[in-house]
Amino acid sequence: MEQKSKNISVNIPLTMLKAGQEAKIVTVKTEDNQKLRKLAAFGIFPGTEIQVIQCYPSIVIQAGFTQIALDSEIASEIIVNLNN
Amino acid sequence: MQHNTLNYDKDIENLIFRLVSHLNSDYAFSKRSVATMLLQEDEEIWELVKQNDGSNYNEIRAMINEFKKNTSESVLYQISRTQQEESKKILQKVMTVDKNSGSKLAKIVNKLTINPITGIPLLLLVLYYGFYQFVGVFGAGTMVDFIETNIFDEMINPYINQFVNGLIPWKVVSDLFVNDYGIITLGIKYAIAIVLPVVGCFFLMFSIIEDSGYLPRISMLMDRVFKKIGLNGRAVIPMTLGFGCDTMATMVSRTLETKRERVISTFLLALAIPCSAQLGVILALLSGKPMAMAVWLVFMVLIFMLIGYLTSKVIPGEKAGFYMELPPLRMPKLSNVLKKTYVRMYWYFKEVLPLFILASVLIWVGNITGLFEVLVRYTVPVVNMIGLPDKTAEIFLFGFFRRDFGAAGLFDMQSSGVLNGRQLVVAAATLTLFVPCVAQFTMMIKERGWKTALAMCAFIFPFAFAAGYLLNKVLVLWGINLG
Amino acid sequence: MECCNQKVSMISRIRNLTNRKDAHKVEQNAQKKIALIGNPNVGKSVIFNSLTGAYVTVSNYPGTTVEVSRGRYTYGNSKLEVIDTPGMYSMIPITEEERVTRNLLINERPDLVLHIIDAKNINRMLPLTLQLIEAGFQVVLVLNIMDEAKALGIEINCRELQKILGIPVLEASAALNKGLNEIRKTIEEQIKDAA
Ligand SMILES: Nc1nc2c(ncn2[C@@H]2O[C@H](COP(=O)(O)OP(=O)(O)O)[C@@H](O)[C@H]2O)c(=O)[nH]1
Ligand SMILES: [Mg+2]
Repeated sequence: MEQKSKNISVNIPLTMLKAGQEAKIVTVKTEDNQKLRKLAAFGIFPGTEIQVIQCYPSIVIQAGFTQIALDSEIASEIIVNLNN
Repeated sequence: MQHNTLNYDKDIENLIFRLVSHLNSDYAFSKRSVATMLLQEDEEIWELVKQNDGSNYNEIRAMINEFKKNTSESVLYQISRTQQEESKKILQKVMTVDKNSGSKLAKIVNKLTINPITGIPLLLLVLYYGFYQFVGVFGAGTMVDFIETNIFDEMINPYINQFVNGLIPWKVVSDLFVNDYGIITLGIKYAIAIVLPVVGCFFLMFSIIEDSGYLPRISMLMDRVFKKIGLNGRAVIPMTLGFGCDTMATMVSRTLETKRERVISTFLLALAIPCSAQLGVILALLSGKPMAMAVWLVFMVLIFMLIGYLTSKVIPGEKAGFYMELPPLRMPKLSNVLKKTYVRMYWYFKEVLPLFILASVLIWVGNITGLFEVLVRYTVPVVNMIGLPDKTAEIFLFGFFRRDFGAAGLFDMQSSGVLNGRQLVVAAATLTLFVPCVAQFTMMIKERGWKTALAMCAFIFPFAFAAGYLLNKVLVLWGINLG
Repeated sequence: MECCNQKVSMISRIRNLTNRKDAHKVEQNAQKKIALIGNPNVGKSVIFNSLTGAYVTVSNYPGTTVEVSRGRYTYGNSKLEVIDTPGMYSMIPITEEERVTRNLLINERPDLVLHIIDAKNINRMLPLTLQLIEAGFQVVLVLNIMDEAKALGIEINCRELQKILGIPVLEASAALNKGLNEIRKTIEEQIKDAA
């Protein structure tokens, strides 16, 4: 969608979000094609809006109507944009 | 009539067009789709193309490499982006969402199960009531007692012994069917009196938990622990299923993502996870002695973690990241739960009952040929070494045929008061570690191949006794007798 | 549809070439195949059980069906082979189960693919429908678990979707026995069209 708030938006890894925060996925930073496909299958893809449900012991995010649990290694490769 | 809605970027479309003209064979997929899979570096499809269009293989490779050199963005990315975007575009036309719907209660319950502060106590409660109380105390205790004592020992066995011994005058032959090691009095009795109630209770409980959607939450909560032993949260399923039946669990370990994880989990299942039949007997065996039970439990957990940790250091290969969908919690459906339990039990008995009978026959053959005696004689020093009396040698040999079979033998020995608490714990622990049962071994070969399966057994055999030896030494050294 | 017919006749021509002796026999015995495809945990096994009267494990845990199951679906005096698969997320396999599923598509070439999805997650499952269509399969799309989708306030215009994709699109709540008759009817209609 629109990116009007560009100047105050920051791109950070998913691991830096706190429970309850919402963000939009910007990119998945990995050279591993398998992993890209895998995450795409779960709807983790640039442009997807997500909300962090909890951070420990695994990171749980809500994407659409799906809840997905991720370990911190994978989560650290998911770069999101905090839009406010 | 079907509309292909996928149109990729112009450059990619051009490349696909050229690729398609180099694909002459008939694939199950449209050539266009084969081309996109080649672009996405799908190795199996590359292999397929190599076989079917080998003459063009190099040219196709070159075309794609050339293309990749000239594009900055990953082609894979571009292709899946088109697929996602197209899908999004379609959905904008056909789907509406009323954001105010959705049950609040469901959300709260979900949070309680995944938040570690509430989730872990909840998990412990589920394990305690679901497995310890229901499967252990009720299934392995109350039900086994009732079926074994009230039904077999009092009603069926004496009658059958008398009947068969009367019918077949030669003791050698009647021993095959009845008396101490007979097919009916030992094989079938163990199957029905010990295994049936325990396995039944386990599968029932497992099915309820599975149907509710709780298992993925356990995976999530346990991921960090499993990472320590070279697995990840995903392995919770094969591992917990192993407490029901290691053979079934070995089969299910196929769902793990990397070969490394499949090997590690197969190995740990064979070594350190007691199946429910075995667990049932061990729980019954040690239930009167809480300290003995605690020692056994701690020892098994230590071995599991230690060996898991070491294995994960030794076995090469890639670590698999953990990612899993958490499906919504649902009310388990009774019909589904019952059916599933029934199907699992059916599978179990189809695989297992014949082996019980086979084991009885083998023991019978071993006895009349004297082979068994010889083997027992060789095993005696080994069991003595780990502090156990001669008679346990027989039980370890039984255990070779079936894990729980051996454990059940221990049960008989304990009832007759031959073993003290320390010996009981050592025997139970060694037997738990000892070889997988025949069915599990067959499954290991089927799933992991001959070499791996044999190598695992070659480790497990001596290791089980070495661990038993160590445990015994420690207990003796500290003067722990455990009643 | 012309393109599909062409493709299939190509296939049978090649089969006849390679298999000339048995060609006639193959034609007679060829039982048409339906494959149930879709993500894990969308209700494939529930639908399989209902179509075939067989039983394969239904589970609320992704990845419990590890083997391919086959069953028979009879209507009138026709018989179809129905294949339940472990499931796949996309055309390109990552896990062993997905590999099993894709190999099945490659080796068995089902005459009809029932793509079953979880309606509330349609946004991430629809791409596979598009890929299956691209790959040239004859596809029927089943929007299952509609009960949960409705409870979340999701409405999907099936007619419109059907028009856009050019394939039959059905709603179902298989675990509640809803929509199964429509699935049967559609299979019977579609399989006639499959060459
Ligand atoms: N609420 C609801 N649950 C369903 C429906 N269809 C299937 N399920 C549940 O979804 C889970 C997965 O079903 P299953 O057939 O094993 O999925 P598969 O992995 O695709 O074979 C089970 O717990 C089913 O009871 C449905 O229409 N509505
Ligand atoms: Mg299934």
